[in-house]
Amino acid sequence: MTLGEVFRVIRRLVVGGIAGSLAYPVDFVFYMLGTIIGPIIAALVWRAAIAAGADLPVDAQYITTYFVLLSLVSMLSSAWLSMFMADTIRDGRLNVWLARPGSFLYEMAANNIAEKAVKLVILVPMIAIFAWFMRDSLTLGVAPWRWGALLVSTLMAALIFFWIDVAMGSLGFWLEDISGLEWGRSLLTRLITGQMIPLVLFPAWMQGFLHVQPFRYTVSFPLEIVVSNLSAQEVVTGLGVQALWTALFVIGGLSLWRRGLRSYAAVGA
Amino acid sequence: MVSAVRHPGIAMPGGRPASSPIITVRDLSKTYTFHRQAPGLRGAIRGAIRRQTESRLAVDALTFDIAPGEVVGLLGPNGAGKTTTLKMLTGLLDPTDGEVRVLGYRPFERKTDYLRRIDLVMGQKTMLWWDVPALESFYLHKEMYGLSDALFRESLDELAALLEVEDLLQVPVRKLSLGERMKMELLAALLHRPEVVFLDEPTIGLDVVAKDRVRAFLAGINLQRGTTILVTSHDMDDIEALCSRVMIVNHGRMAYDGGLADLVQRIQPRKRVRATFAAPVTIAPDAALVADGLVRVLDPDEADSGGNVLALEVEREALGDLLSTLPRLGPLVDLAVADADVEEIIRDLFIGTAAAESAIAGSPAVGEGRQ
Repeated sequence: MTLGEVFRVIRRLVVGGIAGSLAYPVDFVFYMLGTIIGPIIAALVWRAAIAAGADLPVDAQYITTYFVLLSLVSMLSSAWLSMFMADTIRDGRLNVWLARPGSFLYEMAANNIAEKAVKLVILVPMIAIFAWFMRDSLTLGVAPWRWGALLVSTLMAALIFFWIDVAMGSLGFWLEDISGLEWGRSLLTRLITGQMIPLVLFPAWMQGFLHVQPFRYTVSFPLEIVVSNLSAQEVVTGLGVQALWTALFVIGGLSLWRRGLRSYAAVGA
Repeated sequence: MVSAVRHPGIAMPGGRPASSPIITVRDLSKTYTFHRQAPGLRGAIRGAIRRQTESRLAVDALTFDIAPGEVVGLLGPNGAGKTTTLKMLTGLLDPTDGEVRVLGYRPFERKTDYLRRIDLVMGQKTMLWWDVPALESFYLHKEMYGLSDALFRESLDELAALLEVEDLLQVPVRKLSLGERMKMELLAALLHRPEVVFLDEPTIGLDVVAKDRVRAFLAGINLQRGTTILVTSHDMDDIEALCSRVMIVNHGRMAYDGGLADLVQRIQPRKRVRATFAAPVTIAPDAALVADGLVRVLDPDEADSGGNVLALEVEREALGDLLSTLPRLGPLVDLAVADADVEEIIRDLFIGTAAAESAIAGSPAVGEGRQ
């Protein structure tokens, strides 16, 4: 297929995905409430700790801005396809895709884009309300280039998560069940991406590891661009490292997917 | 391999001339590798520590050709290798050995040009989006198969009319009945006018009326467009309604390749006669035809409580004599002459009854492939 044809297929898949998502609008409202409730509670707890005199390496402005933007960045960078993908491989539904001139990965990518579009429409007003209540210590007036860098970084973060999910889902070619692995991955990534606790709040002895590991670039680094005092040089270097991690995960995920396809036994057709 | 066809000429539906094969399969084999695990906790632990890997030959050196426009039934009991064969023909599986060419392509390379010229319909797997109208899926199909607006519209209108689903195109798929969904699956599969269609259990779960419509539609598409169809089904009515030729696979090997009527005559050459009389009748055991073994009296079915019905099996050459004899037994009300039940014959072949095996083994065409 030409690039133009691939683009048209994905565009149509996105349209169909949005139409499918809109069949269940209430579900999406609850998904997004679930996405934003954690950051709201975390922001309140950490702000209370600071107000009580806790000695933290960051101030209330950092904490507030971080958690207000967290739900947006974590939603935009997230992926949720690994279990679905593994199930599709295991029960033979993949056959339908393999017999058609369009990769199953197009469907996965389009589903990701379509649901995020729907979620964005629902999440943004919620974040606006959250931000209004926290407006006393919110710092959003940073240089415009930082917002541009945040956007680029969030796009790469989405690619990293997408291809990690492709790699995890591709394990379904060889494993009967990936739910245990998926649970472990989920726990690990929540801890070291910055989704639960900003990485800057971890003990000093962990900072070296947290700084270089790839999961920092899925949530924490995009937020650091706006909320921390990273210099332009540090942002550019960080984006470069993030691009390398992105390339690594794209290559890894694609390799696993292709190897899996070769060993596919097409069960249950 | 046993073949009922001794010459390369292939009867074409609608009287079309035979031409070079559209599907060529030579010595096709597939071996699956799988893990064996004993039941219980001990088996699970042992399996986790040291896996026992075994292999199974699912398809064993199949060889056949299919000409353009043929409708071929691929039959076999569960686990015979027919679905594995279908998967290799559609490019889902890489053969372990042998050669497959469909439309000149090696299917497993899954080239876009190849995939755009075939389609696979699986009765138990949907290619339609569940929550949106089928039309959304058809638009996706249009982009995948690179259809122009004009061709898409023309094909959609034609197929929707044939399948009588014009009013259902904008109804979410989840709101459709099973039969309506299958019609939409077929519509999607044929939108791009594929030259070869692989059907895996196309009427599974459908009611009698829906089955009939699907069969009539497929037969019409084959006749009008010359589409080559390879169908697997456990419903012998599908096979009888659609297929001019059947290939029976058992234990991964070709057990029979030829015409369905020929198979019936070979395994069960006798005709079945059911004569209904105005009053109870009997046929004497010493009557000439019975005594000569040309006619066998069967048990009448349960519907005949009064002894008015004679159910008989007769050698084909004695059919005329029997039919002239019957009116002499009493006033004849109804008469039906038919071949033996296809389902019964296929069942005999699947379970390997001696009669069935000797019938095809004794064929003069033993060892000749349909190539």
